[in-house]
Amino acid sequence: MNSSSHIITAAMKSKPNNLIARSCFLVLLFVVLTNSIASPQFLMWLVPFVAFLTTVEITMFIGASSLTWIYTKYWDDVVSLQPMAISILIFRNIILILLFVVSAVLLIKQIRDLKGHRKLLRGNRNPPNEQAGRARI
Amino acid sequence: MIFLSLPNIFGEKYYTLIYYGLVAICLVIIAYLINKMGGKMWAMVASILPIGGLFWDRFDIFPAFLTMLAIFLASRKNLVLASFFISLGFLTKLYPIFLMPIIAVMLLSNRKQILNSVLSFSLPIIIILGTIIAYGGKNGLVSFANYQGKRGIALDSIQAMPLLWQNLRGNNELIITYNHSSYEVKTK
Repeated sequence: MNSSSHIITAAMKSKPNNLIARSCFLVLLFVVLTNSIASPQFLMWLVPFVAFLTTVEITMFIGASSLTWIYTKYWDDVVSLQPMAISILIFRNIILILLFVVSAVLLIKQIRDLKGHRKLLRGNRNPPNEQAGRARI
Repeated sequence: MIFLSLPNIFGEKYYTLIYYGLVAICLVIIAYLINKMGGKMWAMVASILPIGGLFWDRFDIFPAFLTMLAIFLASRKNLVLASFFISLGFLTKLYPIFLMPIIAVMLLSNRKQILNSVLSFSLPIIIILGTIIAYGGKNGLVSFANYQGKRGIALDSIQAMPLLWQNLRGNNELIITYNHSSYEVKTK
């Protein structure tokens, strides 16, 4: 195997865990977003899978969690529909929606990259004679 | 409900201590599994801190632990045990069921495990629900379904966002009521 195959194989080995965990994160975030209940503690469902996201996604999740903590601290203001409290709540929800979009895009990109890596690896595994034959053609 | 019953083992006096101990144990195991799967442990810790007291006082860490365990096992291609823990997670809180399609997709390339995975997923559910029905009749399950079905839109849900936005702009009047253990919102 040449050195590029080693790099591709190493990338593939680290990717599957990441892919599974990212898929779980996306599915559960979708459930949280579409749920009519959406209690603050539902964010805990996502916590184990946050560890497999990019830094940008992690930052967005921490931001959403922080805003959740803030509006639960001022829950009486939220219930009485105080503008500042409601704005914080709406902003938190917008961050969660954006996080879903970003995560979905990155997951699709990762799946495409993985498929590309696999095709490349299959190409590198062809016997040298066959590769030479193709080169001549 | 084992996670809520187990802390009673030494009596009511030590319930809180043992409950928090269970939460801590689940957290440590989740961190270990994240490390084994190549995840960023600092991200897990950083994402817990803002949630604050909710993390310690709520039940949701236990199904989160079971789902993480299931996903770890799935990543090791042990889909039978993964299905079993998803099943236990579902019996703890409903949401882990939504991760079964991911396990199902993995089973497509591990067909030998399909039958055992189906059994390991369904048997705990059949046993537990069967026990509930045997002792309490099907009314218990029906009333649970009715309760969930009658719940309105929670104030802090995404679905309430358009209503809140319009309220901020002064375009509607909202009624907030406390029903089904949460604050529900609707227009006047």
